[in-house]
Amino acid sequence: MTIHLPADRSPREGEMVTTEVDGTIVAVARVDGALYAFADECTHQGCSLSDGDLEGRHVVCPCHMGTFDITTGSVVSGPPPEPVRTWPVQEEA
Amino acid sequence: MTDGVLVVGAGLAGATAATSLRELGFDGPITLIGAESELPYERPGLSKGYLAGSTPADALRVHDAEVYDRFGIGVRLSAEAVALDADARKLSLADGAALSYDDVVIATGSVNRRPPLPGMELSGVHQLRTLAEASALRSAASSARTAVVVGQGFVGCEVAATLRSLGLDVTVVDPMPGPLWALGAEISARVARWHDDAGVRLRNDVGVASLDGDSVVTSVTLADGAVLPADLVVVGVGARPATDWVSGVDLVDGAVAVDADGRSSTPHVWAIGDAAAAWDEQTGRHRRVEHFDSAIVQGQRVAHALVGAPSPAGGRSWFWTDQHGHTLMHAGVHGPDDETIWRGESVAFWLRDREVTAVAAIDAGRDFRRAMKLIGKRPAAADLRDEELDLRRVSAG
Repeated sequence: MTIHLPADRSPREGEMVTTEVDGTIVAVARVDGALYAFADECTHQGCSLSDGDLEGRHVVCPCHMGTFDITTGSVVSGPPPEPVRTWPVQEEA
Repeated sequence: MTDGVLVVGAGLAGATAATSLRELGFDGPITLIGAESELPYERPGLSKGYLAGSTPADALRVHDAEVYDRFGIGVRLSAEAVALDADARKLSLADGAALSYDDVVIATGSVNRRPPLPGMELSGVHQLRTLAEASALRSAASSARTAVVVGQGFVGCEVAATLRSLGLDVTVVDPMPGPLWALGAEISARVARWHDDAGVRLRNDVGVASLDGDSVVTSVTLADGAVLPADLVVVGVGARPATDWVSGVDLVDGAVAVDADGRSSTPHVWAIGDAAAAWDEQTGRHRRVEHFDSAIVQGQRVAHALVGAPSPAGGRSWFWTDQHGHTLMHAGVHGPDDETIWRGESVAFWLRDREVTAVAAIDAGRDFRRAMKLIGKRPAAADLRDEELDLRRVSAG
């Protein structure tokens, strides 16, 4: 599945927006010009990752600082037990 | 180089060290030795989700069982280390086995302090460190109506909150003036309010004289003579390093003295997690840190050092506690004389000579992350107080 995001709703560099896809809240971030989509739900306790901070390619959960690499979904540090789901993103005019 | 690495202690620190070694390309034997019968699991949930019945044991595992197979990590469970011979590079286990090593990583964690109270041996008196102990407490709580928690540190406070959420009548007893007193009076007062609001009674400034009952505990007598009925008692009064089996290694207050990479003064002996007191640049001393995050960071660092890789960027040690639906986070080390500056109701900074020594946040994880980066810096106090100012834009001074 590819996330389709209208260009006028896509995030600015270093920022995140959320969109709903089939009932799932998906966060979309822009890093170095590219867009990355990931589930807006920390795999530790379900907190919203888009309420956290984006630090380069990493997103840091606001609840217990679980940190994911948004390009792969893998856990970088902290308590999350498993990776966060990611999707390819297509920006549309 | 054929004996490989023995990791003694199958908790979060030990499991992290073992898997990190493989991820870094170490191709010698790795053996993880655990005294409990369980694969490595994370302990924070024992006083919260697992005790409440909302988190299953499987969800506490550090890694799925197949990870150890896939990584070629030998796991010996129910195997207690009893002696270290650092000269001969041998580890002895309780079952009589003697294992040789190229390097040994001491990661045996902590053991709970057991206060010399009359009645500690009674049925219904619990302590909490292991999954088995958490299971026993959970089972006891299901048929109990009243609980007395002795100690209002992290474990005591979290257990009190969870037992209350299960419907028990809960009283916490501690000779200190308030919960989490080590974090200062202001944080303590906030935590005390959570307990008050939830109906947990806090009996501060008073110790316990005895735990009473024939074979099963039925009440707790306080030093001031008060008697509290109790179907169960939980004693959480701190822990000490599990290093009784260690010899030939420098200790600091019972913990193995190591540098920031886990290297002890004895060749080929390393230590991480609760069993270690790692050199801390901020305070200029060896410091034992009994928290989740430092177990992971130290496990990763020792693995890097063992394979000769540069140390990963060291995150500052921090911890959290969840009680009554609130999350408190804290990083750094503050002294009793440090000035406290609050940013609104949610973020506290401690400063000494204008330098930030520690930060805490209540239900404000994003600000906590940003505030942590100001530790060791000298920002303007007015900026720290200004809730309108994004903490990322506070000048470091």
